[in-house]
Amino acid sequence: MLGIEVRHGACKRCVKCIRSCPTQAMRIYQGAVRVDTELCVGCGECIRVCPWKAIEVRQDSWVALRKTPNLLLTADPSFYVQTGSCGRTGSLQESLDRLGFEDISDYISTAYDLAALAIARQINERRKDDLPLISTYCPAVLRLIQLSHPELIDRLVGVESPLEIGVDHWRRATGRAESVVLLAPCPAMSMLQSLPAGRAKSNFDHVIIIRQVIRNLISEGATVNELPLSFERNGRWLMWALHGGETRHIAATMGRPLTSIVATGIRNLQDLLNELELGRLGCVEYLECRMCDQGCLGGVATSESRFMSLVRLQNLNINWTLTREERERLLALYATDIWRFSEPIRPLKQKSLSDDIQQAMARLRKMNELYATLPGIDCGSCGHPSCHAMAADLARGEGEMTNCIFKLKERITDLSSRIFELCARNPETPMSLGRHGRAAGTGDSEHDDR
Amino acid sequence: MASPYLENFVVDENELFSIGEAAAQIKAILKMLGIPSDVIRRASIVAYEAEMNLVIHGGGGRMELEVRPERVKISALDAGPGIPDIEKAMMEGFSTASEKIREMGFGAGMGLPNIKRNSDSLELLSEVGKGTTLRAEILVKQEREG
Ligand SMILES: Nc1ncnc2c1ncn2[C@@H]1O[C@H](COP(=O)(O)OP(=O)(O)O)[C@@H](O)[C@H]1O
Ligand code: SF4
Ligand SMILES: [Mg+2]
Repeated sequence: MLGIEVRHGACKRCVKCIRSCPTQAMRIYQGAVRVDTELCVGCGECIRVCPWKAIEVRQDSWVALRKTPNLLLTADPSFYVQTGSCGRTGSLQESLDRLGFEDISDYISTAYDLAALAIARQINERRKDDLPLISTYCPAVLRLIQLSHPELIDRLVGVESPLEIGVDHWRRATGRAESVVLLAPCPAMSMLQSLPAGRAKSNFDHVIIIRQVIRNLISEGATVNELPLSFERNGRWLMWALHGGETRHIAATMGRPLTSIVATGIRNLQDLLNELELGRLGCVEYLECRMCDQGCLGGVATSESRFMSLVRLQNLNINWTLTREERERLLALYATDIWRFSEPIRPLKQKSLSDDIQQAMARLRKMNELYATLPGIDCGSCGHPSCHAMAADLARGEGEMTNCIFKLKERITDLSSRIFELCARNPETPMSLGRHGRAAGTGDSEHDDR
Repeated sequence: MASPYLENFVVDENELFSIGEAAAQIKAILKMLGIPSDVIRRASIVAYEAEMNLVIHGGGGRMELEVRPERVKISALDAGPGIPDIEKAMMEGFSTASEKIREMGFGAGMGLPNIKRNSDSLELLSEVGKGTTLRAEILVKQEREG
């Protein structure tokens, strides 16, 4: 299932979304926005650019879930810095407690420690030539690699999302089976639930977006106190919400500096992954990749300014050293393999011109011809994200050349000049001849009428 | 037999800073054609290294892409100084790149060995003072080891 939903009633077909999509997953077809489920990575760019708020993160009903008994809730780390004064975080966990959601964040924070440990081990155990490894934390990045860089799949670090690990850990430790809601900062995290990678089924049964819950809590007068002390004691996991936080955590686990590149935003990611493909990132050990500016703090479904939540996170007093007991507990958990993907990460099918290479070659020639006749300004009015995509779709047999307003204008100009030309002609039909009364002998009818 | 898909790229000598453009276009074409990703990966490396050599050593030139359902062929042609000793040039770590080029991160002497490793057949013809022609083929269907 997609991580986004289009409200067709609110959509004005302004084509801003289809032009913003980094994987060109959107089209306007027969007057409505269509999203290709295979191609959507859940980055949320379309939501950011839509002036009419016609695209939303897919989520369940908060009103209904609040009233559901025996439900647990796991929040993405970015949730905890959404409120508070400058340099102080609000006690959002307490607000959730008051709503009756049991706090299992201890299990989740342990899972983040475990993920950092497992990643550190994978980096250390890997041959130098096969580094850097790539983070799998951001599901949008993971999907982008499955889709556009399948050749880099063996560079993905084989460690599951700590959010999933945390719930696995809680279930195993307590033997409990209640449903769990994920509080997500973005469509990609929503897809963690609906379209999981590396496992058959997600631990999460429902998804709610952070903005929804925060607005609700604030409208009900949530207090903006300080973060509970227990969080400051182990706030390492919260730092994953900020770009660079994951690297910091892994390095702390290793007890040595980690040569890592932290890249955020689609442009940086594309450049970085291309460079990796060409083998140009020699001495680098890890790539911490995030789709959003600042990391998950910049997720499209958060409520707070990413700059303010950044300030709060930076002012937290994080203790990066594990106690000996913590370390021993982690090593025991590590040995259970709970952190591993249970299924391989598979490449997603790329969108070529045809499954048959021979036919694709013919279509590519056709596409080049068609592209040469298009204006090349990528206006999107045709409902395709670029002139290039339009040419490709036409070559596949999807869409009409006259959906291009420039081609349509050309056709109209063409036709009208032909009409004009036809009008100027004096066809020698009996009727016209009669009406003008110029010809002799044949215009009888008019005379008869008189 | 059906005609292959052909494309030509001019590679300018002064393109040191935008190096890899032809290789990127080649990759995009192969994706559109639905070539398997492993073949694309290898073809991209071959194209990129060949393009680098055109710019760094060959004084610019031309690249050709020829695709048939069963194989991808990449050629790089220049009218530059040529290679006096091809066997030596093929050795890992051998490079005549200037200090300046090396400071920019190029010229590790791994280009030709990388091309060799990632292609199924490689032809390198060169005449000193006349120029160099490199042709590499990557098979599409046949599984390759190593
Ligand atoms: N097109 C070319 N024209 C002239 N000399 C070349 C060409 N391609 C390669 N060479 C020679 O072969 C050597 C090895 O090439 P390569 O393995 O790509 O390493 P590098 O490019 O890092 O020097 C180069 O240093 C250069 O002397
Ligand atoms: S960076 Fe974080 S918020 Fe943004 S898409 Fe990735 S997981 Fe979601
Ligand atoms: Mg070279």
